[in-house]
Amino acid sequence: MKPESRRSRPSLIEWIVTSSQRMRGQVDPALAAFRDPARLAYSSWRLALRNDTRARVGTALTLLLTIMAVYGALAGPLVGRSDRALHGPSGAHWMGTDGSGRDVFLALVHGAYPTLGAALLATLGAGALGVALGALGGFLRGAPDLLLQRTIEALSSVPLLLLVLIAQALLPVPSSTSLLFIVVFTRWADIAQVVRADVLRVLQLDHVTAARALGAGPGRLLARHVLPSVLASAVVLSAFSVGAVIAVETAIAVIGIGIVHPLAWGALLGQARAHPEAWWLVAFPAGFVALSLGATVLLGEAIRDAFDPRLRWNRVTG
Amino acid sequence: MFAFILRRLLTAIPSLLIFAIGLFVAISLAPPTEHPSGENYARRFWHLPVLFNLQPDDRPRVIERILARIPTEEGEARTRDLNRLFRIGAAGLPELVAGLQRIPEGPRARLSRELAPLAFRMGIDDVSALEDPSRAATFWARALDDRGAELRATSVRRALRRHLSDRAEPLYARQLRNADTAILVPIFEELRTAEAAERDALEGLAIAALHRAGAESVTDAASLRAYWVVHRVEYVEYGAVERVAARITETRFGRWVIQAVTQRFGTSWRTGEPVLDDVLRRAPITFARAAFGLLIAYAVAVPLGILTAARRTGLLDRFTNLFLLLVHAFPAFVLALVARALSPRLARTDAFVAVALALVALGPIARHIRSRLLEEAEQDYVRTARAMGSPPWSVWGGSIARNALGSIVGFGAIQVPLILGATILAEEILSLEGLGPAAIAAVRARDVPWMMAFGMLMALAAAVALLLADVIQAAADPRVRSSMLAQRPEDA
Repeated sequence: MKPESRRSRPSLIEWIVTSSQRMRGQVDPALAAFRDPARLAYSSWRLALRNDTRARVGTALTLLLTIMAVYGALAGPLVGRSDRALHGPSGAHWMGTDGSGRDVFLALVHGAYPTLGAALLATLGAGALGVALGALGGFLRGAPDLLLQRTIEALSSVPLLLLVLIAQALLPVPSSTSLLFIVVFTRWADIAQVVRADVLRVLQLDHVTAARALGAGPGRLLARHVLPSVLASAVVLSAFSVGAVIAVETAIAVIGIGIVHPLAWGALLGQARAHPEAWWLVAFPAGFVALSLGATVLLGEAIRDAFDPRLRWNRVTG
Repeated sequence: MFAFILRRLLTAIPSLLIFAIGLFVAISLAPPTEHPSGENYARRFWHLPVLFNLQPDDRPRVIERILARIPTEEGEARTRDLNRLFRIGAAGLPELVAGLQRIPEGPRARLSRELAPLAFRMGIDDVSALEDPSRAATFWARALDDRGAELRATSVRRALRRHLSDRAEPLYARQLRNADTAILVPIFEELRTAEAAERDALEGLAIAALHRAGAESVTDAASLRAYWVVHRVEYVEYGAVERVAARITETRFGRWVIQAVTQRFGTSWRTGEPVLDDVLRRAPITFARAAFGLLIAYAVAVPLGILTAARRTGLLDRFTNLFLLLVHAFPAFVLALVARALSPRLARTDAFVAVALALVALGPIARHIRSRLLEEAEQDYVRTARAMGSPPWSVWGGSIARNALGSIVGFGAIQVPLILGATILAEEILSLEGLGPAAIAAVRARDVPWMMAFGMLMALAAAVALLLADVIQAAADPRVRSSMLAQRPEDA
């Protein structure tokens, strides 16, 4: 076996050989994940698209929502007409109009970016924080780990939404950006917990022991040998987490505590509380929230199955 | 088993403490809503630091600070500081005299003259010396020489006892009156052990003394106690131990803990009601809703999980999959909104709320049951049992279910905070009786005592749920009992 230090930078020849092998599909998937996680993710996703209805539906929904968000973000401002407030669905307004005379469908399109983009951003932040802290806790053990565990326990023992509500209502200048930070702050605990458990498990595995025996330092051990095998569960959890963040964001907007982006879907749903007779103000925003939640679940499950086929729902057993 | 429960309880305490501190600090990030000069500002301890008070105030420090800045002050600021000195009154005479020596001659004479009302309160009628700048400063030194003995706690206590045994005797009444605010600390010490009849007399004396000292808010026994909670530090002098303790107790968090322990979590800033009474009146309704929802969720999820785990293909499985997906796509608050739009009367029934909450927990629980059962079903002992000819019901019901039971129950405990949060949201949206509307109103009004009590209740509920789950797990599986006790069932 080559010395540990040489393996980090493959020589040019080695690189040409492995990439040609990769191109011919002759490389061990585990090695591929080790060398090139993005490529593995892409190929397993393509595989899932071929075989799995849920992955197909989830991808289609995600694409649809992405197009909506991009269009809404690029389109001009949304102007309401006060003489058309609270009209029911018609040919001119497919989904009716809201309290300030805006077309509900257009409002939903415009709200896709603030709603979904914020959720995605918050989840990315929470994922990064969770992976970093969870990995450190599991790796360092001892006092830092204990503090981490107690903090996670304390954070997860309170309904997420309540923490967000309290913090959001109390921040000096509540804004949709501070909401992001709060969601990051409250959401990392779940991910950190799973990552910590995974790190503890992976540290026992043979390849880590081997690397350690070859003289790998803690930084290298963590970055090259532990984190790549741990990332899978963090990615899956984050995918599910996007849905949870959307739900929290919407709930905050509906309750009307703190400031959520005025175009976010929750703000439309919140209007429905004031106008109970306008059913279209409930039905269509709720439908879009449900669509995006469904999309995150489907995608999350597809990703999880790609990483861990053992848990497959529709698995045919022998 | 007992040792297990005990050790599990001990590990829950640090979490609760971290939670309380974290929540309090988060709440304290917000600036106070009250104006600093208002009465509520001090009563809500906004003037104290949040977690650590490196230099806790007591009487000598307060007086020293005022005397250090008063020579250069004019107008309103000077009046305010003078009023504080008057409120501390004769109790602070020793520190006042010592402090007067340290300030320059001109301001000293002026301040000495301005303090004349205090001399009247102490029964010194001849204040002509104060008119002469050269004699003004020595006036207060002489007053301390004359009256210092009567102001000491021991002599005040003796006078108090004699006054209580013979209230008609004017000598002791006058002595107490002349001792001014120096009687406050001894009185509050006596009040701890006093009987009902003496209590009224003692409180009357303290109210009269504070009234003369210009504490306008003190009018009856209740306001006297409220005043003392806030201003006690201005009348006492810390010993070494007390000073160290005050670094923690003289903070907003310390004051909250003391209130929580001694006064049922204090009174709500929003309604003025005792917080604990309000929370405990509402909690059973909300908790019953959540528990009912969780029960229904388990009643549906267990058969669903077992069926889908036992038959991994086919129509039932597809149907279940779709159903769980739909359940996941509609959070309880969206269901509540939709139901409210469809039929407001139906939406407000307990049955609907319970079903909506059950749907929230159903998806995760059913998935967890299924994956746990599948995991167990692949174990070697199951293959052995099958090979030895055990019928399927015995394999599933006996071996697999028993091994998976602990983690399945444990998973329910993790759901408790989620389902409680969903309950609160649903209650708010449907405006039902319960914790929900009150919690949202408290958050809106920044009602710190209410939010803290509420947060602690939620954390406690989660901790109890986890504890119960761990105990059940330990009862079902002896391996758990003997292994590290704080291990949590990991979310699969």
